Amino acid sequence: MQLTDFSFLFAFLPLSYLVYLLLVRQKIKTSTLNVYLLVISLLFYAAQGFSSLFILVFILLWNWFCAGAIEYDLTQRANPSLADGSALDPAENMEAPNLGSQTGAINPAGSIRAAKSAAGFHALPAARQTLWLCVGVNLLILLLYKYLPTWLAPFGFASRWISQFVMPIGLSFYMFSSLSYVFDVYNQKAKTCSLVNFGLFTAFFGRVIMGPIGHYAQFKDQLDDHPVTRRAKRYGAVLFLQGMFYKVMLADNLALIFAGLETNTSWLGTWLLAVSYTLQLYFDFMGYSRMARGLASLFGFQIPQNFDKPYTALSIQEFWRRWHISLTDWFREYIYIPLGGNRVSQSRWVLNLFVVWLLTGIWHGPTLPFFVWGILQGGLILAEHKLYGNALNKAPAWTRHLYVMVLVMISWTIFFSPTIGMAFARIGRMFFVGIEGFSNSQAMFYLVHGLILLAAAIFCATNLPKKATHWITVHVPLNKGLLGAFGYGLGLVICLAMLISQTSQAFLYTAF
Amino acid sequence: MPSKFKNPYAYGQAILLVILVLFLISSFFQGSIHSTASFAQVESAVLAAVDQNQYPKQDNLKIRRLFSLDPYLAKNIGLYRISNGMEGSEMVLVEYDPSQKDQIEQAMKDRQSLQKSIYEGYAPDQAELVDGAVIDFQDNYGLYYVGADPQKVDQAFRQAIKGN
Repeated sequence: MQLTDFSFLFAFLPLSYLVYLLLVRQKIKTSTLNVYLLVISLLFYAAQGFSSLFILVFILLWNWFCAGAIEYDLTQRANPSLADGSALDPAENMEAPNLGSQTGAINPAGSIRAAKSAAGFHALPAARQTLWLCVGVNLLILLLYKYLPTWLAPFGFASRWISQFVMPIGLSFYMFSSLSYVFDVYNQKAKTCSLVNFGLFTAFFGRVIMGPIGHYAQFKDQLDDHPVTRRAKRYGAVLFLQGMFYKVMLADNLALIFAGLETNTSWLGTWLLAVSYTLQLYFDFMGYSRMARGLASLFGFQIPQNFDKPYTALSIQEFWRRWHISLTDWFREYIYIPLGGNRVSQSRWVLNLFVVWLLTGIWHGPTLPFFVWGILQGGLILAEHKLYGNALNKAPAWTRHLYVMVLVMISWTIFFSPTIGMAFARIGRMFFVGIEGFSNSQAMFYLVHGLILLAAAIFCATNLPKKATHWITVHVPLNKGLLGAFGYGLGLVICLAMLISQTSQAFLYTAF
Repeated sequence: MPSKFKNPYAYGQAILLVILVLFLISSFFQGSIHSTASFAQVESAVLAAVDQNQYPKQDNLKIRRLFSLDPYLAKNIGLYRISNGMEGSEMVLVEYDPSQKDQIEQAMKDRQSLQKSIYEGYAPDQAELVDGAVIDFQDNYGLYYVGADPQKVDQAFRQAIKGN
């Protein structure tokens, strides 16, 4: 079930929300409301099939038990009566976390030295053993379902054997959300919670399929209290409708341009392909994230935004502070900072940077283009830091913006190409290498017929809609509430009409 | 399992690991897949796994001529091949009612057998290609693929029909 399916829009959502509001009206306890939300979230996910539901439930139970075991071990270690002389647990020595600091939430130095001098895994503090076991099992499941089917595809028998394992939808997203709980408990940024609350945090139906990835320490307080105010309901409805508009009206139609130009080998066709994908990916994923945030708000939760107008960035570093924020935050918090961040030697910092970006590429997919794409992002960020960052800061804004957009489109070309050879061929054609003409009839067809759509998409990707809304609010002498209701109502009708006409496409980021 | 864990949560962890192993083992022996994915989604995923220049979509009426199969037996069907008698590469993607599965699958097998016997005479490399074809028919989706990397295409097909 997807958020744009009719079964969701006209059955699941209204029914589940109506029941929820009735429960709230009856002043049912928050803990009971959370049970209800968890049950409907699991029912939502059950539409994906038993195997997928099993994996989700396993991940929930496994990570919850592991976090409980870690907290138990940490509590035991804090007990001064334990005096077995083993290495100090790093969390025991950790100061209260400073969110503004770039130093690691874990101080690995002391415990790593002690561990090295002892007899490997078994000499590590129990909490750390449990952490490694927990992460290991999670990564094993990810490897089995997401990576091995592709990596073993060339090997006949193995391929047949591994083809039984088909990745459950949203696995990458909810696994990372649930691991944030484990890490936050290990780093003592949060205490363990009930299985229901943890399950709701990880598997809430609004974001279980495509995020945003949750950060437990930032979200935990809402699990104890998430009132459904009128403002939250209005905000949630607006966000949901905006997200649906971006997805159905823009992303799905841009997908048609992309599909039509995939085999085009003209210069214009290649650039149109890159532009259409650049916009399609953004509106598809941002649209979903907005719908997810809207759903969360309807039920009283606040999820931070996942995109902040990334195509207005003036550097690659800024781009990555605006794109898929929940993922970059996750990697920074749980990988980059524990590795030492930038508070290490120069060479170690460069290594940390490339490790994080390689992992980011791998997270997106199991094939070489994703790895190259990830490494490229790390390289560009490094280059901005070390080579031309100062010059870039002094350049006019329009050149900086052009620089970002060209590099982003080249990056996305690598991202969406099935093989690295095809990626390089397309990039070559962008710069007149290997083209079969400047343009052809197919490229012109999509340019002419897609011009308005592309212009609308570019408009919506900037800050102009906000400015336009503000202008209308100030200068148009009409009832703002009625105008807004009319606008959103019209948008909803058009979206539904497009969904009915079956021009809707699958959400792109479900592939990750 | 040890008789006594120090950490009470360890019992839960141990039980879960056993359940996981049993589940993974049982996954090897699962039956055919019934898909809820749309034909468009499956088609898109499978076409992404092949060189689309080699598999342009053909008129469904050709299915009747080439496969002796009424295309209207299926809910959705697509034939993808170059109109070139020297090339054995072709692909058929079909969504059907489970009751039609056997008939459609047999049509694919007959086609494979016919193509192989034709190519054996004058294009043994194409005959070999046809011999290595994927004929993967699940509960309501089927794939017949002749071409390079058959396992990769089959994997894409299976992932797509499972909705991923």
